[in-house]
Amino acid sequence: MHRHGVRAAMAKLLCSTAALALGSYMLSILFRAPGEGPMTFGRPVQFLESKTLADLAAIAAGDSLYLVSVENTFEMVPSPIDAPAQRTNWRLWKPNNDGSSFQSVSQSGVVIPTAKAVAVAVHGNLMAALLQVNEPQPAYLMTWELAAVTPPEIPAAAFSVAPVRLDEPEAAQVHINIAHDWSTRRLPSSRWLFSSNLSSFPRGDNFGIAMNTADAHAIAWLTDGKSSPARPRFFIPDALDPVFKRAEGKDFLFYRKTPADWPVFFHDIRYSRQYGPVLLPLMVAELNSEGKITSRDLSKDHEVGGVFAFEVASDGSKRLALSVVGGTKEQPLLRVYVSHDLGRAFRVRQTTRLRKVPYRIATAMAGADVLIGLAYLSEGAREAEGLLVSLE
Amino acid sequence: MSKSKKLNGAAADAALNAKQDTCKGCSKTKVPPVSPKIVIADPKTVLVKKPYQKKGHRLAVRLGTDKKFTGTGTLTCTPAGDITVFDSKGKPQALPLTIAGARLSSGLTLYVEGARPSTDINQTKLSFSLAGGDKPIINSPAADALTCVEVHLDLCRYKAAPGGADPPPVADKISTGRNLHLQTSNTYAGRALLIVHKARPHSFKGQVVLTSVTSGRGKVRTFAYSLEAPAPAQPVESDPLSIANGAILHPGGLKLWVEGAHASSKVLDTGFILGIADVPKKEGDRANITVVKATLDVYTPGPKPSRIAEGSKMNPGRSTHVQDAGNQHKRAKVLVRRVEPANFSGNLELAVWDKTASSAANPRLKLFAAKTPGGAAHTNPHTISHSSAYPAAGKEVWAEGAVLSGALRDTELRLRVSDAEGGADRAAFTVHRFFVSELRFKGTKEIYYARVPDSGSYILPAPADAAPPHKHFSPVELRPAAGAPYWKKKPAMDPDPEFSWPAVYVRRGAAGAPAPEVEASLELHPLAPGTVTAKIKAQSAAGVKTVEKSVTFTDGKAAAVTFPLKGLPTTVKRLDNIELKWLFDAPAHVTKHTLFIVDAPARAANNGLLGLGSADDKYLWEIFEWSCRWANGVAGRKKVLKAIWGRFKPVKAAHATKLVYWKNHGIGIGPAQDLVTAIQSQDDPNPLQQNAASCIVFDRVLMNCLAAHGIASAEIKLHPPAGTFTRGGVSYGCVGWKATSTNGQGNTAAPPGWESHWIADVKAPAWRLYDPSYGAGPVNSNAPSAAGATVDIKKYEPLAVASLDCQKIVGGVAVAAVTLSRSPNPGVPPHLVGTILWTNK
Repeated sequence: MHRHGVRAAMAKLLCSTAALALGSYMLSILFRAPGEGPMTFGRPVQFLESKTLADLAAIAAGDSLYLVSVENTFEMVPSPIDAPAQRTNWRLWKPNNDGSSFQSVSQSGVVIPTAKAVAVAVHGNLMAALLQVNEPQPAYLMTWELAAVTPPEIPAAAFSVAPVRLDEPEAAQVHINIAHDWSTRRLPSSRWLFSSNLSSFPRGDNFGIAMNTADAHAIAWLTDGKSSPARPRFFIPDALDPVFKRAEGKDFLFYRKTPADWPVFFHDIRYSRQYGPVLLPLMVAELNSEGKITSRDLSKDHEVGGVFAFEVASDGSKRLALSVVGGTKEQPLLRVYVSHDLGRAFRVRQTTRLRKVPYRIATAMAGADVLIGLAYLSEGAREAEGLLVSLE
Repeated sequence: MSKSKKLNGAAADAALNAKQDTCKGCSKTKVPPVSPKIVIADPKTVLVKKPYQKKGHRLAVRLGTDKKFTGTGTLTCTPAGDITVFDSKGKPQALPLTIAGARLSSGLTLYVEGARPSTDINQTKLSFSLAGGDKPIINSPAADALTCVEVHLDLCRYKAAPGGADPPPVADKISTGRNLHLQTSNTYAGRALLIVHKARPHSFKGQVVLTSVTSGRGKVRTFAYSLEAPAPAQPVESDPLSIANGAILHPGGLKLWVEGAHASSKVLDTGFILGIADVPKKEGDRANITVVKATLDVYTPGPKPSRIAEGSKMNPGRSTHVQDAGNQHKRAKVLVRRVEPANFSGNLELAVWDKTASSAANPRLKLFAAKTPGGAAHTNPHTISHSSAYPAAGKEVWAEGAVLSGALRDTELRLRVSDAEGGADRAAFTVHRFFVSELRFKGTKEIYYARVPDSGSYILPAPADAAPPHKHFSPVELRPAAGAPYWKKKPAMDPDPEFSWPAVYVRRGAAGAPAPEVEASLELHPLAPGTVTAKIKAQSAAGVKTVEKSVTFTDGKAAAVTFPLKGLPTTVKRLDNIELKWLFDAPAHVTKHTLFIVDAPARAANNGLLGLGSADDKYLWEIFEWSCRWANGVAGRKKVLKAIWGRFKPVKAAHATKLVYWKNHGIGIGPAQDLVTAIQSQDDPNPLQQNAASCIVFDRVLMNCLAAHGIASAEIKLHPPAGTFTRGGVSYGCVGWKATSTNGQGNTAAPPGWESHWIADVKAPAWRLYDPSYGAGPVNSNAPSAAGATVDIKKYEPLAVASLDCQKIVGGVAVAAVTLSRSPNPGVPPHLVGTILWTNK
């Protein structure tokens, strides 16, 4: 080999070595275990396995972020409402600084109607829970006043309980294919509500409720948390798993776009395992001040792709944190996007592989952090994981 | 006297009687002198007699006088001892031999036999002198000379293998001789060393002649020394073979290899004699040989074994299977025939030969005396004594596979005579291990899984499906997956299954059922290049079996061989954990299965996935598990319906499915509303939720269980009439009804009222309504039309409806909730409506 050849070979070798080193570094970052490096590259940490886990929520209380696990005890208690009520076990889980572990910081016995799903949000000193019951009422909105203690402690007695149901104009628009019907006792299937989601809004009305009808209409209300919501802000067909957000005075409804005639009951893993997770396009509808709704396809416009599940966290500013579960059913992938312009542009902050598609993804944002809760239903167990992601 | 002896004698006489010389000087006055005469017959060469010979080659010697003689003559030989002299009667005469003159006058013939080789040509000198008598003696003694030639033939001892040092001569080449194998085109037989030594005296210039004893028939033949190892088309030495004595080396001699060309008819009936050309056909030495033809017969497997043709004995040869711990594999019949010559007395050896290692060590076959399993194996090689008492039909030996072959026909049975080079006969064997690698049942319906079960009928999920336990599939998944086998063996030679999924067949005798088949992929180890054909079949204690097929394995594999299935039950059966024993002469590989035997070709299943067309027609494993268990042993639509419906009516305190009708609804537990969810719910972490099932689930259990056996049905949703109606002049709308019973399957505290309820309309053969949730019915109905239409439920309604929950309507607005009694009069509203959701009629 002559001199030029040697030099070229050396250069090639150095380049290869550098590339290898860089690759190794990237891999070490991407797959670093929690607590070993920057928190933005952590992995979900399992903190709970419970046979009676009903649901998992993420809340921001003050400057702190918590995951809230709600476990059934089926210790039935008398209730003034026309639904079986039980004492449930609520635990608040707080991540350590780098999100590598979660600790139960408070535990409360809370009496609620037996619910298929529980969505929780905090606004100031008011904690609200949207309880998806169905029969005799579709859902209840319960609120508690939190004492000024940290961590928050949920009082045994609710501050208010209000049923959540479709008003007649919306109910009249719900049409269920007879083939997609199921057996009911005290609430017609056309009145059932699904996919309960609750957001807290920093200004104006306290909370945003988003749910699905049985025929995949998305309905969203504003509420002060104390009374039954009325006059929905959104009522959109073929819109699954709606998430209602209000920021900068605008109302947004994120949802997964379904084909027509979508059997919500039999696609809701809390009720049926017939279909399993299905990838659908992620959309966002924006309600402008004139009451006009415009929709955008986030899956297409921002290359988000089809999603199994998603959640949006907002602090009321222009900043949004969008967490989506995509990939495949066998190898689902969690991606966390951040947008600083109300969803006009998104940037990926985190990508991590999940062990399966969660039945609940819950997020809350505080400061520069987003806390993500993931609840899984496995053969013989329900598990909860948490992930802390920095948006900076 | 033999002709040759006569000729020799005549020659001597001629010489002796030649015109006698006259004594010119003493013709009148003197007595004429007498002269001795001695003439040795031509060729003045005599062979040295061998000890084994009773009588050696003899040569005439004529003695006489030219005139009448009254004295005596004396015959001497120098050197003494070279010859032995015999009179005409064969009586030995000692030398010096004195003979009376009177016997000499007319001439006397004696015979000489070589006793030892002459020291040189014509160096055995005979001298004949006269003495006494009445005449003067002249020219006495007369003399003549001859040569005693000794030829020597060595037949060498048995040599185990070609090459290496020459073996020494046998001790007794006459009485014992040698055994040689009959050479065949296979060239199994070896060759023995034969040495023609240089005749003595070494100065003998004549030809030494080697002749086979049966020259012309060629029972033995010779080859050049370079051709010890037999091969086709090798040049055979001429017979007789003449060799110039001068060309024969000393002391080595002329070495030749001899092999058997035709079987002896008697022991030692062939061999070689050695002589010289000067005395044709005179035997100077001999070696005796028996050419033995030993034959091995190998028989086919099966209850009536037949002899494998000679041309197939080595290829394809005989396949056998490695014996298993239970000694299930049958032994291969081998017959060692009586040899030729039949009176052969000696030992035969039957060896199991490793062709690859070229060794008898570590034999892949074991040889036994008995056909049946057990007993001690023969040592290898196995010695078989042969004598004239050997059975005419031969002796049986039974071969059993001991070690798996590494290649096809890498094992041979080799038969040989213990003390003969090479072998007599061979038969090739391959010791196999047979495996079923994959099975595909060609049944009638595929089975889907919502949950991988671990109890009930035998099932072995694939490793990927076995974890976590009770793995759930949402949506349901087909197992085996499309294109995959039902049963698969673990890799290599592990006979254990990797997985085994159940299959569905229609009972024997059912109309419209396709001919049952199973497709098998088979392996016959060693997976070595080449083809093997074997008869394969399967059988089971349950009676299910395959037709036997002749399967050709290429390179050890036979893929996708379709076997017709026989012996399926004539009734519904749940053939749980049946073992199919796959036979390669005996059970060689056992595969375990569950076969669900249904009454008739299945109709479409109902899973509530309407609008998905054939995607809905998916039978869950549980449907076959339940229905075949429930209708076990019965046949025919009516009996099957009766057996299955018997699991629902009367309503069960604990239903056979373990499902509980609206379990724990009082504490807010919502039941599964579809079969998949109900089946998966048994693993719900919350025990309160486990097995809670709605009427939809019970309805589909019934309908699918019936459809699996070919019974048509329709799914009927009961609900209050839509809109408003007038009764007693008041407008009402109905939202639900109060039930006549809260005693559902597994739950005596079912909800008291309903807004909707699912039942089935079943055809067997008339259409009747069945309510599997409450065990109510059957009641007559009518044939369902299409989905979306209604069906007559009038006769069913009284079984379910106590009263109806309605609202009084005023001005189009519900103003009060009221309970209306159900009127038995169909014309008086309200009455429930039965809407057809689905049918497979």
